[in-house]
Amino acid sequence: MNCQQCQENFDGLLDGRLATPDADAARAHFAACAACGAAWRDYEAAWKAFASAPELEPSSNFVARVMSALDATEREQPASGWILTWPRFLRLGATAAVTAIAVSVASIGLLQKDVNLAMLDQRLHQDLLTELPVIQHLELLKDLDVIRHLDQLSPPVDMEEIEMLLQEILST
Amino acid sequence: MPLDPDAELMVKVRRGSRAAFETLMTKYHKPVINMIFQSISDPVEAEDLAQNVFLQIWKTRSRYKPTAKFSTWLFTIARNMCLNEVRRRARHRAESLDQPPKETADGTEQPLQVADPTAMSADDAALRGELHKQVEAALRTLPEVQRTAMMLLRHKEMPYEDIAKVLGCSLSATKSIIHRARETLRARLKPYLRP
Repeated sequence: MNCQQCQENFDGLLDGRLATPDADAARAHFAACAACGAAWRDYEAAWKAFASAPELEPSSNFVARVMSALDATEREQPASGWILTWPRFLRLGATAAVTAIAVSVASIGLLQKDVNLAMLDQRLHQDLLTELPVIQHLELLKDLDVIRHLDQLSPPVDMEEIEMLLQEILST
Repeated sequence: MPLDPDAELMVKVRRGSRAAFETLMTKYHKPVINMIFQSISDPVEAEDLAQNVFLQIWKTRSRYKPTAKFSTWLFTIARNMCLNEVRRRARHRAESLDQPPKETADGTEQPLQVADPTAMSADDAALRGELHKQVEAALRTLPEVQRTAMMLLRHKEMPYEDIAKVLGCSLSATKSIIHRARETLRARLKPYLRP
């Protein structure tokens, strides 16, 4: 083992990742080469100094504090129906975004059946781009559960409102 | 293949178990806080940010897949939130510079609380104290990716492969990052190490 190979093995030796024959060869090299031996001792000592340096001790109530914060967060945002706590404009935006996504997906399916809906699809994509900032803001859309469970929201979503929004989107 | 204990706990967390969440938090909050503290240098804000990390874990628990190691997932989220905070601070640096240091309720500056050092002679204690100061200073001069790698490496259960995942690098790049970081530490600490 030459000096370069030896020094390339410092990390493996320090972290116990080096195979035994390589580790033995490195140690034999340290004994024979004063420069590599000294470099290894510094390397090892610096790591030990870092590894043994005191760490910041978290507050003793950290875990309890997070659990309280979690309770508070959940009280603010109950699991069911929390969408209804949003301002009306945001709910309308969300509904429009969901509808646009659903119709866009549906139109892709229709296009595959050779139906000429290219214009509709293009318009919907434009709407999607407009709605993108809203969509990105909506945590619930990441799982798209809202689409699957749209009819199960309590109180139920006004489907007429969705239809009207869809008409608005299509007529512009 | 059986799940590792953390993944098993996280599966329970996904089902809404607060007890499992508390167990995971108890195990990991210290390394998470320390990793954040090394980047933002403020113990109070490090805890606040760590709190947000764990709240985020709870909020997004349904997205956890048992195929991913919990610690890798946790530290990736912690690192991303930490980077966001550092970027936010960089944007508001001018404002931050005008802020007085954080004070405790009695008006004194918040001290760094560290584990009690083991009993040692006055000379040894002084030398050790100086060395630890230098370690902290050296760590702060490292590029973020090297500093994070060092903090993760110190967390004993984290193999190179998992560190690579947290850093979003290849294994060979991670080895190189760790080596460069250790070389820098060696050069910076050499004058303070006993021959």
